[in-house]
Amino acid sequence: MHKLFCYIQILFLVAVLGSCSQKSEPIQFGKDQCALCVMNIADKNYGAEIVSDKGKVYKFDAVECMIHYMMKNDTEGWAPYAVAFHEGGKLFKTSELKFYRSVELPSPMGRYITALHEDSIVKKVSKKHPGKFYTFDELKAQFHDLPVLAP
Amino acid sequence: MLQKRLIYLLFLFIGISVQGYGQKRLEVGKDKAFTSVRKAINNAQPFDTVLIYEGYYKEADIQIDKPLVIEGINYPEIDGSGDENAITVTSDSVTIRGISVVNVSTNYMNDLAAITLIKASYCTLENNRLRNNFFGIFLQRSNFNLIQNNRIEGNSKEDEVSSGNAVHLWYSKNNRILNNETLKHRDGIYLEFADFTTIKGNFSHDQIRYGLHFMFSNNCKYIGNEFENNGAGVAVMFSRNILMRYNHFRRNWGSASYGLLLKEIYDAEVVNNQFTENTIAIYGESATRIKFLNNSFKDNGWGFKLLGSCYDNIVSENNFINNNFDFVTNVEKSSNTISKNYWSEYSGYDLDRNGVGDIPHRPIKLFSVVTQVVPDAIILNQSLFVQLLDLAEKVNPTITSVHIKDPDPVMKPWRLFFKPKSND
Repeated sequence: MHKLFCYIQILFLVAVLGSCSQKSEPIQFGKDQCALCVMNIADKNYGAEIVSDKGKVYKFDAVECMIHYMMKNDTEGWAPYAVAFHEGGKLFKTSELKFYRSVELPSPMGRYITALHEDSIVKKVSKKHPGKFYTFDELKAQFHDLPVLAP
Repeated sequence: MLQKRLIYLLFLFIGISVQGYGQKRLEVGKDKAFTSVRKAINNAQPFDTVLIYEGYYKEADIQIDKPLVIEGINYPEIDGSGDENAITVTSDSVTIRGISVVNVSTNYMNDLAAITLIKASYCTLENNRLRNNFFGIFLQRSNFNLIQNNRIEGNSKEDEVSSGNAVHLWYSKNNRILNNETLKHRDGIYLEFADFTTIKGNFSHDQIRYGLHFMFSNNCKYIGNEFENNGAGVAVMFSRNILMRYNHFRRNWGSASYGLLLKEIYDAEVVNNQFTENTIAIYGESATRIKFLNNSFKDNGWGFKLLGSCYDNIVSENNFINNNFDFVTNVEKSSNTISKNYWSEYSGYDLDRNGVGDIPHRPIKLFSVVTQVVPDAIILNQSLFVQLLDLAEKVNPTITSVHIKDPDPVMKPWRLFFKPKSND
């Protein structure tokens, strides 16, 4: 009897810990809404997600919306993800991505931020569309001073 | 005096001779002078007409770089499958009329479209049928164009977002979009940095996302359009001075569906519109100085949902009939004016018979506040318990705001007009 109680306790602990993990959740395009601008997320090339320290998932239609959200709220220790350009809407950790700003690649909320992952796509895109690379931290730090792009 | 007249005459002659310039007709068809549209266009002089006869033409990447009239007879079908736009216009004053463009491929690197205008102004695109394309009509930095009477059908199925927008304007001003039918695309009409756009008489239905979508576009008007069964209705975002009149927002059902979504919008007018059978007829966030007059809200889940920082709006002379919740807001004291509306929920009386109810109407129900905190509680709606709660709250308000009220609710519904007049 004592043993059984022990098992139940362990199970409970696992369940609690499991629910706290910062796991990302795939974006359901066409269904999910942006947590900041309430738009439906529909473009498989753009999107972002942040997972709170308690495991709650907030989805965004663009990286710029997520950065806005991070500035407005205390997101210390939260895990940010972004959708990589041209990879079928898959999410990657922002630390694994290169962020690219080109006037020829407009993102959904008008700040021209495109996240790139695979090397071949990085090469292809930067060759075709002139622009500038940023890391996520650079983007966040300079967000209000980013050069205004307009055709 | 005579000299002046002579000069006028001279101008008249110049006018006639210019008109005479380039009036050639180039015919494209199986047994005509040209069998390829592209070849005919390459051989044409400015202001010529290229006539395309009925048939099937598998030609992508058709470039129009001079002012021409492209006219189809019985909707010749241009198949644009491949890695290019079907038709790209880079010249002013081009007319494309009566053709059918199909099968432009989905491409995530480029926004491929059936008809693309790049820095092309004063063009007319009319009576075309565009089907199964990624984007339908795509305008980039093109002004003063007319897009009318087209039918633009996408290929999106439910839960799939592989299609682009039917009409997409980007950095394009003063364009007119009239009497088109758009369906099964991502957005029916999408405007980004498109000021002074006029949108009239369009029917936008069954889109994956919005029937009409404004982003950063000021001083626009949309009048007499119908929006039905779209993923989320119409969205007007980050824009100023928008006139919305005589539109019908119908059957936008779904957990996140609106008739009209207003977000970061200032100085707009929402007048003479009909909202029927939407989950939320109007949803507003950061919507300021907007006049909501003479609209009809009928059979919606929520009539109005105004959340946070919506200031100085006027909601007056509207009919609220048979909505589950007429009005929801999360602000305690609001600077919004609500007056002289008809509420079918109103249970007051009019003893002095002046047509206005003697006690104010408070449109916020207790249960709508509960469902805002616990959305799943909606399952208890219409139950006896909830009706009792609502009644108790009405008699003695404790949770709902006492400040949000219509001081003079009218007893009879307003007679409203929803047909645009010819001079609108």
